[in-house]
Amino acid sequence: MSRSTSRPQTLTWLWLAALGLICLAETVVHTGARNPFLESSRPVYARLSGNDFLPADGYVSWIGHVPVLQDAESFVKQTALFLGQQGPQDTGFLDRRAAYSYFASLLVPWFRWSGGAYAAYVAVNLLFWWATAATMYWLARRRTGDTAVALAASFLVAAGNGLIFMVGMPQSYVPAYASLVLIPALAEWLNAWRAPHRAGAWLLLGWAGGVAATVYFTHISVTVFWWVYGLRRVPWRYLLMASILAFGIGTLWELWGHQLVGLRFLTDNSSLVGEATDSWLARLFTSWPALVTGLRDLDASGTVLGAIPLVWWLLAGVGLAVSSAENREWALAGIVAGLVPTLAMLTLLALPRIAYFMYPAVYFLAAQGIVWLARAAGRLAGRAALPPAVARYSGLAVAVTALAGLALLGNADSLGYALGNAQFHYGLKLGR
Amino acid sequence: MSALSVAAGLGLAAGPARWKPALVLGAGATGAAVLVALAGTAGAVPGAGWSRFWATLFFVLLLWPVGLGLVGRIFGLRAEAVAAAVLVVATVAQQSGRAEVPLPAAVSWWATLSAPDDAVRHRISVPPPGSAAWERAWGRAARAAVFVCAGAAATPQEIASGGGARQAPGGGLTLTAGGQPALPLTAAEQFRVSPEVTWYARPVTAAEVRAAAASGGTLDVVLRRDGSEGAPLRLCGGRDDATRPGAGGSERWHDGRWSAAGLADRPLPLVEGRPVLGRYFVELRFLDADGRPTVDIWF
Repeated sequence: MSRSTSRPQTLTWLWLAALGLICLAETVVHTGARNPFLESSRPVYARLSGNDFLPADGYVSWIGHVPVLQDAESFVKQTALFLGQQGPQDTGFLDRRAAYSYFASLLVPWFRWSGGAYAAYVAVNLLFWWATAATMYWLARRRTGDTAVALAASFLVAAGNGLIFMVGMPQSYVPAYASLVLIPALAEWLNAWRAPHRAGAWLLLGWAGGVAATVYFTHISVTVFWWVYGLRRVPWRYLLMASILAFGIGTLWELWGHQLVGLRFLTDNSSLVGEATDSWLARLFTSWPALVTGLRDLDASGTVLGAIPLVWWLLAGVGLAVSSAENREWALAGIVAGLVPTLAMLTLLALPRIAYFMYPAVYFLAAQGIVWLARAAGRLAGRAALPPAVARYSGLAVAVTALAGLALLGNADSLGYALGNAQFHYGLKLGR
Repeated sequence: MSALSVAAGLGLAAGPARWKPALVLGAGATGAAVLVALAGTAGAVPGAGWSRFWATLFFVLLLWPVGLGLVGRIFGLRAEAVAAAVLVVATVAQQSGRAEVPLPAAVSWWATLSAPDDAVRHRISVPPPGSAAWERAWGRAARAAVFVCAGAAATPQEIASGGGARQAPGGGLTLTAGGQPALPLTAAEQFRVSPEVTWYARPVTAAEVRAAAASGGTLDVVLRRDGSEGAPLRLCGGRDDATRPGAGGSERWHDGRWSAAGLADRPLPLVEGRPVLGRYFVELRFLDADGRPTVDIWF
C-alpha cells in the first residue's frame, strides 16, 4: 500500500478511536446517580413531570449498589432468565425488547470483577454508541463525499444529547437509537436505493428492521423511512416485503417467547400505539374547534424541541438549504419517520425520546450547516485584509467553536444545568 | 438448498459467491452456540433450563447467521472469525450458570410504628448557613417544609376505590423537626398520593433550620408514637445511595437508644455480599409559589 493511501486510512482509524474516547468520556460522567434519565425523574423537576411526590431520589431502583431508573428492573430480570438464574415468570413489562437483555447477558459474566452487572449494561450501550458514531462517519461521507461533513456528523453523534441521556441506563434505548443509523447505513452499503434492485438487499434490510423490533419499536420509524424515501426509488413490492419481515420478526418473537419461553408479554409502550390511534380517530371525528384546540394542547413543538434543542434545528436548517436535493429528500424522510411515531403517541404521552428518532437526519443536516458556515467564514476571511494565518484557520475555528458549543450544551448537566435533561424526559411543555 | 444457492436466488449485493465463506463461518458459529445453549439447560436453576434455551435459541438464530455473515462481507473473514470466536466464548460463559445479576432488592419497604415509644429519626444534612447551596434554596423558595412519607396498609376494596374516603392515619404520633415543639401528626398538612401513601408536611423557617444546624449540621426530624391510640402507621423507606453526601441519616429507636440497624420491619438483605444502606423518606423540601418541590430537596 502506498504512503499516500495509507495516511488517510490511518487518520480515519485515529478519528474512529477519538470517537470511541469521546463516547467513553461521556459515559463515565453520566453513569450511576448522574444518569440523566434517573436524575430527571426527581421531584425537583415536578413542574415538567408532575411527579411531586416521588421520593427525592426519583423513580429509582437498584442494580447491586448502583441506582437506576425503576423501568430497568425488567431488563435485569430478563437478563437473569438468559443467565439461567430465574425462570420466565415476573420479568416485568418489557419482554418485547428482550434482545437487549440477550446482549447484556453475554457480557455480564465478564464484568463480575469490574463493576458488576451494571457495567455490563453500560458496556453494551457504549459499544452501540461508538458503532453508531463510527457508522455515521461512513454514512455521511458516503452520502456527501465530504470528509468534513462526515467528521462533524459523527462528532455530533458522539456528543448527542439523547445518547448521553440514555447511556448510563440499563435500557434498550441506545441500541434502538443505533439502529436508526445502522439500518440506513446498511441500505447505503447494499445500494438498496438504486437500480438494479434486488430482493436480497431488501430481505437483509427487513431482517435488520426485525432485529430492531426486538430491541424497541424503532422498526416503525425505519419502515416509515423506507416508504417515504423509497417509494419513488424502489419497487413497492420490495418495500412491502421488508416491512412485513420487520414487523413479522417482532411478532414472531412475541409468539415464540409466549409459547416456548413462557414469557407473559405484559404491556409496554408498544401496546399504546393502538390506544394512540383510537385517540387520534376520536379527535378527528370531533368538532373542528375542539380538534384545533386539542392539537394545540398536544405540545408537539415542545416535544420535538425537548428531544433536539432549537440550536441544532437552526444549523440543520442551514444544512437543508445547502445540501443536495437527494440528501435533502433523504434527511426530510428521516425527519418524517421520527415525527410520525412522535405525533402518534402524543395524544397519550409526550415522549421526546421518540422524537429523538429524528437525530440521524438532523445531525446529518446540522453537520452540513456547520461545514458550510465554516467555509463561508473562511472565504470571508480570505477576502478581508486579515493575516494569511488568521484567514486560513478562521473557518476551522468556526467549525470547532460550533461543535464544541453543541457538545457543551449536551453536557450542561455536568456543569450543574440539568434542565435540558428534564426537557428531554418530559418535553418543554410549551402549551402550559 | 445451500446458503449459497439461497444467496444466488436472492441476488445479494456483490455476487453470491463472495458471501459463501462468510455464511459458512456464520452457520458454523451458530451451530456451536446452539450446542452450547443445549448443554446450558443443565446449568440453569430448576425449571428455567428450557425457557432459557428457547429464548437463547431465538436470538442466536435471529442474530448470528446473518449478523456474522454481514461482518464477514463488510470487514473481512478474519474479523468475522474473531467476532464468531468472541461470541461463542461469551455464550459459554453465559450458559455456564455461574454468572448472576443482582436482582432488585429492598428498593422500598416499611417501618411500622405501632407500640408506645416506637420512634424513628432522620437527620437531614444541612449545608452551612450562608453557603451558596443555602442561599440558593432559601432565596428562591416561597416556603419550606419537612415532608414525611407514611401511610397504613389499605384493604383491596380501598385500593380499588382509590382510597379517598378513609382518613389518613397518624393518630397518637407526633412530629418534631429541630427545636420545634412536637406536633400531632394529624395536625400536619396532608397530601394523599395513593390509598397506602400520604405525605405529611410541617413548615419550617430558615431561622429554625439554622438554629438546628448550629448544633451538628443536621436538622433532626423525629416521628414518635406517644400513646397507644390510633392505628399503626407505616413509614415509607427505601435504599439510600451510600455515595450521596449526607447518606445514612436514618435511625430507629431500639432498646432505649437510636440505632441505624433494623430500620425496616423486615431485615434488609445483603446485596452482592454487602449490607445496603436504607433511609426513611423524610425530606426538607423547598417549594415554589405553586407548592411544588422544584427549588431543592435536602434529605
